[in-house]
Amino acid sequence: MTPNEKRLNDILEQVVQELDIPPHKYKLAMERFGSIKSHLEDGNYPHSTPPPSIYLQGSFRYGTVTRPINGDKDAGFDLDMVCEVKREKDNDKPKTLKDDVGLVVEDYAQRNGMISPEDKRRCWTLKYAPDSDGNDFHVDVLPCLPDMSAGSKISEQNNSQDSTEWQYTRTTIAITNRDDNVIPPKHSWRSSNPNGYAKWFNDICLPAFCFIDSVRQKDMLFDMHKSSEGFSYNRATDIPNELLRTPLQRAIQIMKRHRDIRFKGQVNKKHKPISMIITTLAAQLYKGRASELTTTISALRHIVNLLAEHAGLASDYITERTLSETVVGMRLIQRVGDKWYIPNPVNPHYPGDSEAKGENFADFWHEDNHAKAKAFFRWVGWLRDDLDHLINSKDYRDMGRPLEDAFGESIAKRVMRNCGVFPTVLVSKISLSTDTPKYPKVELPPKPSKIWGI
Amino acid sequence: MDDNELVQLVANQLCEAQIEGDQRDLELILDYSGQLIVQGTIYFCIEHKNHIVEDAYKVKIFIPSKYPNEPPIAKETGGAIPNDYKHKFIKSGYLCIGIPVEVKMVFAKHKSLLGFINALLIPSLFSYSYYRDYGEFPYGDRDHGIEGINDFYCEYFGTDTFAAIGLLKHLADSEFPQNQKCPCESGKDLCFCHGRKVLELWEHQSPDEFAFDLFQIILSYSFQLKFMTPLWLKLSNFMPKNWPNLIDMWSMYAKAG
Repeated sequence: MTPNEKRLNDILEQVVQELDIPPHKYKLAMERFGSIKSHLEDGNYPHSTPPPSIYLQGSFRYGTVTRPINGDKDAGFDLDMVCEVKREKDNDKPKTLKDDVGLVVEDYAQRNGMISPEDKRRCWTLKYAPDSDGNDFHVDVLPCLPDMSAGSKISEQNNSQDSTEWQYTRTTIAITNRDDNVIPPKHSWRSSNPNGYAKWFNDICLPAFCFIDSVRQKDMLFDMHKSSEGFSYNRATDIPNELLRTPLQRAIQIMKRHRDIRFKGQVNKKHKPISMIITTLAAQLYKGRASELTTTISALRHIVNLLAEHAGLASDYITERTLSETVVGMRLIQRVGDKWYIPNPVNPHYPGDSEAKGENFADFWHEDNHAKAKAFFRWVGWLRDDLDHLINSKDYRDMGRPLEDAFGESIAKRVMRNCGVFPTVLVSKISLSTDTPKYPKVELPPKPSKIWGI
Repeated sequence: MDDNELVQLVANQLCEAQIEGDQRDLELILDYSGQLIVQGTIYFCIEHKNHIVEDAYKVKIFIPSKYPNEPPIAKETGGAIPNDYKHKFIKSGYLCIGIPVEVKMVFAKHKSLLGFINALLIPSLFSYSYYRDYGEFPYGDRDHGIEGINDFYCEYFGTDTFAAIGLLKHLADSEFPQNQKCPCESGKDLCFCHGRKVLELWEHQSPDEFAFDLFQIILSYSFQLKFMTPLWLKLSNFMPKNWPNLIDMWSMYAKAG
């Protein structure tokens, strides 16, 4: 690693520490998960004898938890969990399943003095009271049924893909989906496989755990949070292994934060890339390279540079949609005709497959003249430029403003403070006196300059 | 001017803005990278077309190293102006106060923080307040990108685009020939016609910056003309001398959005 890369790697690791869930909040989240899990396991589900399987999904499961932003401030964390009721899909209806689980969740809310759960399109959302930092905490409970026959079909039809082997697809589930565009709203089944995806992701990360310095990571977490309210670990070694992060997980956390900052307030913010796309593409690009990409910066640059090589696909001119040989064989992002394809690795939908088969994360990328595709590649370009800008900085002081632009002012300030770099106040504000108008009258110049934009 | 002199100058000017301009909620900081920044909240009350607008914005005003020979640039940091407001640079978030050369000309008359705030920054912020509340810009706005720049030069010279291109070429090539007819086709010599206007602009930007404006205007205008017609060919004669050097600059500028 060059000195500049080492400096940037240090900074990025600090950025990630600021983004990730602190150990004591993770402990609280797991306690809440455990409490809801127990209640759901004891719940009454008509026509179901065995208790449901309750497990985590999403960023808490993959280890890519990233503090979201809300306006100008950092917001609270969200936890996603699955309630897999042991019933046969053929004998069930989606609305019935959703409502049965909803009753159990509602009961939990009432017993614990919480407001009723919100009925979302696919899940029930429980909201907790803000914590001491004033941040919210939400839990999404996803009702579903096991659907092994669907998993079996995926394995049979995609036997050339190791990610669709039976070890991954046997945990396929049927989830409920509510279409609010019709009256009355229509409920239907959808296919998903959070357990399979989590196993696939974890298998990619596994080799990297041999190379990370777990002692150093736990020491950093302990030193950073030991003075925080609610922190109850006595020693660094007590911090759970679930909070150790590989370079891939850190790269994904950084990418998610950068996406949140760069799309904040933008006209195309509804087109910002979803976390599943970022996680899937990053994992596929990192796969098999754990021994080579042993630092956050090396993993991040490898992922971002290869993603940027796909940018030609978004060109309006077919002759410009050429890719390097390196990326052609990867089949990570494909454009066939005007449709885009980023298949779910454990339940893929490829070009030419029937509509109902598999899952394509980029199935809406073609809409509005490929708005989501263009937003994705523009964001990748910005991320690459921001990393280049940071890596070419002369010293820590020089990195302050690029860090603000890339990851937000609050994180940049905290990281710079950790590096011993503080802004200096040279002239202070002065307080209003009673004879000073709060809104001073200003005369416009006789011919004001007309404002302009790029 | 060395760094200490610059700090002292800006500090004095900030005190002037605080006391005489009543902008008391501003402070001067030296940020991580040694950049001087004036930050805080700007307040104003402006009467326009029988409307009284009172508003406040959290801002950061970045002082360039060549200050006061170069104007500051500013960002609104309170989130009051959305990123999709068309008079804001998309990626960097800086406010588009005006055409760059026009901003430099206006600032050159003041060369002070209070002058920048009252003559440039507040009018720009007031434009957004008025647009937000009444649906129109109080004194107009310019089109995006090169159309706006073209519009400025035509308005400034009082000519059409072709004549403006001819006048801009003198600035781009840093040449002021004595016995040449004015490109506006008035029949007069340049120095007795639009020459004064050219000379007024001369000191406010470098020849390369004028060359870049000219290069973009010609590219944009040439797309409106039929290829290889006499007018199209005539246009190509006005390209700045160093135009091959501008292609990289143009592609970087296009990425900046």
